[in-house]
Amino acid sequence: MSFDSTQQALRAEMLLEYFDIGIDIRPTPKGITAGCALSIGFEQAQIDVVTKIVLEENIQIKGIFLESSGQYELVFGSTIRE
Amino acid sequence: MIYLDHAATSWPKPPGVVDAMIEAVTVYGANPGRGSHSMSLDASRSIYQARSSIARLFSIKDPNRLVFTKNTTEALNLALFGFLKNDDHVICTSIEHNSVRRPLEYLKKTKRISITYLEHSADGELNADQIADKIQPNTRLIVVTHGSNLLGTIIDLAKIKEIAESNSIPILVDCAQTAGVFPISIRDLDIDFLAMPGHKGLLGPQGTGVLYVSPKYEIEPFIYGGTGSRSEDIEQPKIWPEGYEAGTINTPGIAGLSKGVNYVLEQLKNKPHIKEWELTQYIIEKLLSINTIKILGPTLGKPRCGLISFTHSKLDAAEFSNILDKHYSICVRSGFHCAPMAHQLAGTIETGAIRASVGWNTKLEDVEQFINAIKEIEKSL
Repeated sequence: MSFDSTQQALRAEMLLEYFDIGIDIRPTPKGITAGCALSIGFEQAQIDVVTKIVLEENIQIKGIFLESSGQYELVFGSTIRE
Repeated sequence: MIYLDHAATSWPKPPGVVDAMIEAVTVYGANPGRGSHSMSLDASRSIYQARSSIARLFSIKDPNRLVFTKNTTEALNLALFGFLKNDDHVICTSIEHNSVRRPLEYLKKTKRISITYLEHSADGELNADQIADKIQPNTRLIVVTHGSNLLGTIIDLAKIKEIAESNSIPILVDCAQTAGVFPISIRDLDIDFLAMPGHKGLLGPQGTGVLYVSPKYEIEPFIYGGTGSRSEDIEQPKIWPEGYEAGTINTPGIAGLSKGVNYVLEQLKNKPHIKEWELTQYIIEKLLSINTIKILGPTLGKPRCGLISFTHSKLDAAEFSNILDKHYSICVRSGFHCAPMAHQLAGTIETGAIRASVGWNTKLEDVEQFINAIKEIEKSL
């Protein structure tokens, strides 16, 4: 799950940890976007509960991506209102 | 030194504030939100911790709807410039600080907004029922100062919010004198915009302020530049909160503010208004026996924030405060307090006033010495 905002990423980290979801906060892979943004990695099996938290808590994310052999496929779109 | 100028800024700061600021500079002094190395992340976590503490104090669900600014003035400017559009109508109280009045009067010239100033009693009290009659089809915002920085008057936010809500108009509250002192719950009051200083009742250092924006509303940024993300975009991303905090923010100040807010939450149990109330009522009781002194604002027993302003029939305000400073080492504020409309109401626009304000560390002995000093000055005249 990628973010355009460090503060949104930290809020998501806090909420996902609260719900006991195993996560790993790390720089966003170049395959998603170049720059200095953050991402949170989690197991694919948790995607439904993660998207539920994102929507209920109005967390602004760039998207959720599925990694396969170093390629990233968008599976859940941005929640940022422009 | 007896410090009775908490309405301007609180002093001293509680234990831990200065240490947190030093730690922010010496231990994790990297740029928050710029890069993902561990020091930058530690700085970002410190900023997020401050947001979370402030959100807890004001019962705000999403800490990322809090934007850090350098003071209340900047927070108010962000709300006013970011929300108001051409030809909007604004209703506001007549006890507003210049931090509201001046941007509004500027927007009157540049965006052709119109402004209706509400009517008050000489004590600053407001009958909210008049608001309904002043709403126009283009009324887009109601601006309210929660506590007057001159008169001490407390405005009933619930009544104003009720009227605003029934007309689908958001309210902007300036809680410069009440944040951290009076309980303010966003969950209960559903305030749309809340501007506050970090360095007064929240007990943080100067150079810190906050604006809360309800998720029901979006605003335009006030400052444009780097946000640490989407750097390839020519337009500034409207992400919360970084889209409204362009440029490197005041990490040491915000780290100190975090400790100040935690002190309010944990040590003062969010009830400092009780102590401030008792001290201000004590001062009023004693001043009422001095015939040459005229107290401004609500009478004894009526709601008031932790300040008392007064005039002296023989001594000029500046001279009075100078005597208190030079002969008694007591710090009070004289002058016009950046609130000319409130002085107009009180009839002190020509003379100014002397303001004494108490805070988290003010003791009864301090205000007793203040009263004794005034009595000595009185005898010497």
